Amino acid sequence: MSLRPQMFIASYTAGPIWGRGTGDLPRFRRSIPGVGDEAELVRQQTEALLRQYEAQDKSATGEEVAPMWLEDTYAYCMQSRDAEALDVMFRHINTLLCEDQFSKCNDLLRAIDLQRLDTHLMIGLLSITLAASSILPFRSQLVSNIESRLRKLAPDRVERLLNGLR
Amino acid sequence: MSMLASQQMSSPPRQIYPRPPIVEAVISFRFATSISGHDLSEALSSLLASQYPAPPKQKRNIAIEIGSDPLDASARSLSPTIFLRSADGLRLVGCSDNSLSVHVLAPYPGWERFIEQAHEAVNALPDNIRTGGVSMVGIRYIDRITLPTADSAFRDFLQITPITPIGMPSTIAGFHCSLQSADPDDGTIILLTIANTIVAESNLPAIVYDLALQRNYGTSLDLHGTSWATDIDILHIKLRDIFEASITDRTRELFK
Repeated sequence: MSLRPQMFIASYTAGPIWGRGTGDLPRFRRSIPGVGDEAELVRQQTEALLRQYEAQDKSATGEEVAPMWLEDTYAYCMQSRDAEALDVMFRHINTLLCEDQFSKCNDLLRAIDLQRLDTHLMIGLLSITLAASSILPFRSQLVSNIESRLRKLAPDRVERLLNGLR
Repeated sequence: MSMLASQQMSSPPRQIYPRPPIVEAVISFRFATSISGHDLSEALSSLLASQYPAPPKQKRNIAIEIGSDPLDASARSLSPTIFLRSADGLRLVGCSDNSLSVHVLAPYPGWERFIEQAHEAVNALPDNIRTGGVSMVGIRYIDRITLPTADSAFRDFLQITPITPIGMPSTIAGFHCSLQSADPDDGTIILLTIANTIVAESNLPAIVYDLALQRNYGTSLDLHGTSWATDIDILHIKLRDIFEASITDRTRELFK
């Protein structure tokens, strides 16, 4: 019997609250760390397979595919580590804008899953993109989408939160 | 896509094995109050010096991004994890930003000693961290089930190996499967990964069975009381039930 493992993945998500847009964990990435060899084996295989699927998603669906750092942002956000989430997001978006990659930044705004961001992150996103609002066509739609979400999360603070960011 | 055999799970009898396959067990906490991994390790190392006398070990965490162009890759450093270590290196406490993990490596010392280790670590936390409580508790057990011979069939030892479709050879050479679910009653998140590997010392095939359960709290859970330990105990019972339902009687023979 060949001992070289053939990569085979069965990916099954169950339960009513799972999937994109529910603020849950990045799928299959662990938040409980391990230190042993077997933990490292699982981590490496999982990361390799997830990257493979992300690449396949991009070619198969034509949808805007979020960069990997966004999963870190979502994970930090889910763990109430807003400072770290904002740092990741600001750093990457700032780089895009400083390098005049406006088209790529606009694609990014389309790909962001607002259901996985809390209020701080959504406001931070509008703040960092405010200066480039005239050259990010999707931003106006983003403002509208964020406003809709804020009306559910913080209905009495919507105008105050969005003041100066539209 | 799901290729895993479905089995109706029933709660199996609780068993304690003389040679459990556990290679690592982890109890994990996510704090509601911010604290850096460095400050956490400083606070714990003095109070737990007798239990973890070996020099601490630091693990760098790096995030690597690879773009569509193979040359388009970048890496960035995340905050490191600092591990306090016992003299024999088999018990560890991991200190990361806003989180704590308690680890035991094989040979597994038993649940009572493991949870006692977690109690020691929690009791040594700074008071403001205990007061602030946790937003998540979790438990993770990683088992390595070494099969008896080189040509042992995986499905003889695991009830949940992938089903091969008609036309594909039924002998599985390798697999890696992950399942993720949430308990609709209490929101417990369950992540199970099974994969095959080779034991380097013997060249025998083995199954890695990695099961993690965690509970998230909307309102933080105080660490001064024992509620966290009760929840960890409940997660542990669930974890054991899932594991027992995953293996066969032939597997249990390996643990005796």
